Amino acid sequence: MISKGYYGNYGGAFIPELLRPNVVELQKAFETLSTQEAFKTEFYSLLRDYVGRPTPLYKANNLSERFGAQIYLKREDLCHTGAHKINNTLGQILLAKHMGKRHVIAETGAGQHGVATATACALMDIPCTVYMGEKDIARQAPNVARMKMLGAEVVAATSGSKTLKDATNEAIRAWINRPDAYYLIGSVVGPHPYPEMVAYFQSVISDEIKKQLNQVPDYIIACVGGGSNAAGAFYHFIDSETQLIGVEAAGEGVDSGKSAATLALGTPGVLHASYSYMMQNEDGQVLEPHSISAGLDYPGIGPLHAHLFETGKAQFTAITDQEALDAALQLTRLEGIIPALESAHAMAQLDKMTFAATDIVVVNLSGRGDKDMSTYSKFLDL
Amino acid sequence: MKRKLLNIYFTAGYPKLDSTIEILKTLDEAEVDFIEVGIPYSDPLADGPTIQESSHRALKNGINIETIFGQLRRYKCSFSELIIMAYYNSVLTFGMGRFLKECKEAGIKSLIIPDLPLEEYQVRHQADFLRYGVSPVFLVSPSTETERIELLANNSQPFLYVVSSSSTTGTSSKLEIDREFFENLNALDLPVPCLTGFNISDKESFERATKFTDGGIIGSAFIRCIGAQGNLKSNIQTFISNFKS
Ligand SMILES: Cc1ncc(COP(=O)(O)O)c(C=O)c1O
Repeated sequence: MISKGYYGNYGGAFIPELLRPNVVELQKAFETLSTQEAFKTEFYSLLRDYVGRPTPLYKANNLSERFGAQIYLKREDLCHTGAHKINNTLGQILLAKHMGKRHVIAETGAGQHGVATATACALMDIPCTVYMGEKDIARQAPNVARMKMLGAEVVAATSGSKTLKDATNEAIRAWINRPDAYYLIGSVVGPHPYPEMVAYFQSVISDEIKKQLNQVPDYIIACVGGGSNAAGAFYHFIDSETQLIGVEAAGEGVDSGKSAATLALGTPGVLHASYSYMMQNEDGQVLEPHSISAGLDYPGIGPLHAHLFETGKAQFTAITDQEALDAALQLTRLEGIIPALESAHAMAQLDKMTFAATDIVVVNLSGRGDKDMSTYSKFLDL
Repeated sequence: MKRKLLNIYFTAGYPKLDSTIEILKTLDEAEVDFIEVGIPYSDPLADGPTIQESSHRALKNGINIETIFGQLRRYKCSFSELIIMAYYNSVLTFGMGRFLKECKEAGIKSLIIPDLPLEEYQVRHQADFLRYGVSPVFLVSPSTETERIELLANNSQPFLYVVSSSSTTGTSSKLEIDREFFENLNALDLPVPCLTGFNISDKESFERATKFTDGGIIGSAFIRCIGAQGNLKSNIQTFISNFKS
């Protein structure tokens, strides 16, 4: 589906010439290493012994009863560090190690990718710097402490909306200033080869779903910030019978002016060196997004999803802050699982659909909710 | 020794929405060779804090692309050659054809798009550039291989933009010159002049930066000059005369 860094019209590497040697070096390293058996063995043994994969595909009986369908949760929340992000950071850190890199740069929104990067770096003994929006540092405090304990340097991004977009800008600028470092991006965004590479490392999710379910599901539902957990959950089901549903953050409502529903509100453009959909005004200025969930509070989306959207191979919907909070509470009370706010958006989609009793529905539960307890306490009056 | 070419960058709409014409006029009268007009962008990836801040302020002042072209059409330089610097998304969303047409009407013959690689330019936009008589200016850095430098120089008009070291603009207060790179560059027989840019802040760093090239580009230091207290025109005159003395 991908040709020279493009998914249909979307993708590419719109980088300043200064970054070209870095990006070319990375493209070559990924192409060479990802096909080597030794590399794959190293990656998969880490996923098994360190992350705890395969993660369970849990048949949620109480939810199933509530929604009148066969509902399964892909338990990425049970990964070491508490989200799917670690699948990607371990893949990339092995790449960085093979490339002889001695420093890692990363951006983070919810802090899950930052924690997963700091974890991988601690494991491989590589120093790392994580850029995080000032607003996110405040709302995801537990993850900031975890990153620091893991030895990462956390740098506040103070420009723009002070969230994930700005953290990514700062990380890319840091990379320009430090071309010897490895930039470990956290989603299926950024210049080629990142979208393809991150999707590849995350594809283990759908690979496992396929084996665990032993049949083709009717629906796969995943939340979409940049789109990495969705890419991983969709990967082996693209072009199958399965209906793929990506759930964006509507914030206070798609038309409220405080939203992060990129495909609903955006138009094609170049953000973070990739041509995809993005939220922008008629002069191409990037709009500030809003979501209660730091991991979905992003005005762009990976080029794979732009392509799936345009070709109708996946559907995209948007869930509001309030709907996500309600769904988080519902999942917690019905199944005893506190989801990440990001994943709660995917859960909320269930309420928007009507199912046949035999329908098999897989929801990718991308992460656990520990990091969001202060938000839950505040909005759920705990 | 040949006189070094001087290129001054400023962000349109900064410090005030309507500062553009006064800045242009003062620079033109001071006989600056090239004036690079920056189109402010919300997410200027290749820029350091000074230009980020000026872009942010300019956008707050309400500047947009149409207003900028309106300003540029109102003042015709008699000495300086105008160049536009814009991020790819600004141009793309405005419409490449429409943007180039505006350039042509404002008498602008070259355009720097720092995040548009040569290959994408050639496939997607070269025909439009030719149609409107506009040329791209490409950047190279000490990490660009010789063959690619030649390729980029062959496609660049009226000069090749040589970044002094791998950095965002105005990030370091110390200009570092990779002597070996610049000597090699100097030895190449390139069809266009080379101008050194990034982290030039005063006469001393200008001289060091242009020792092996045909001139230099000053951005962040000039932004600090126009953002400073006092009379805009005399601030600019003093700033330029320091470089020209
Ligand atoms: C638990 C969780 N889910 C989802 C996301 C969104 O990222 P992506 O769309 O790349 O999966 C994040 C990002 O921080 C996250 O922490």
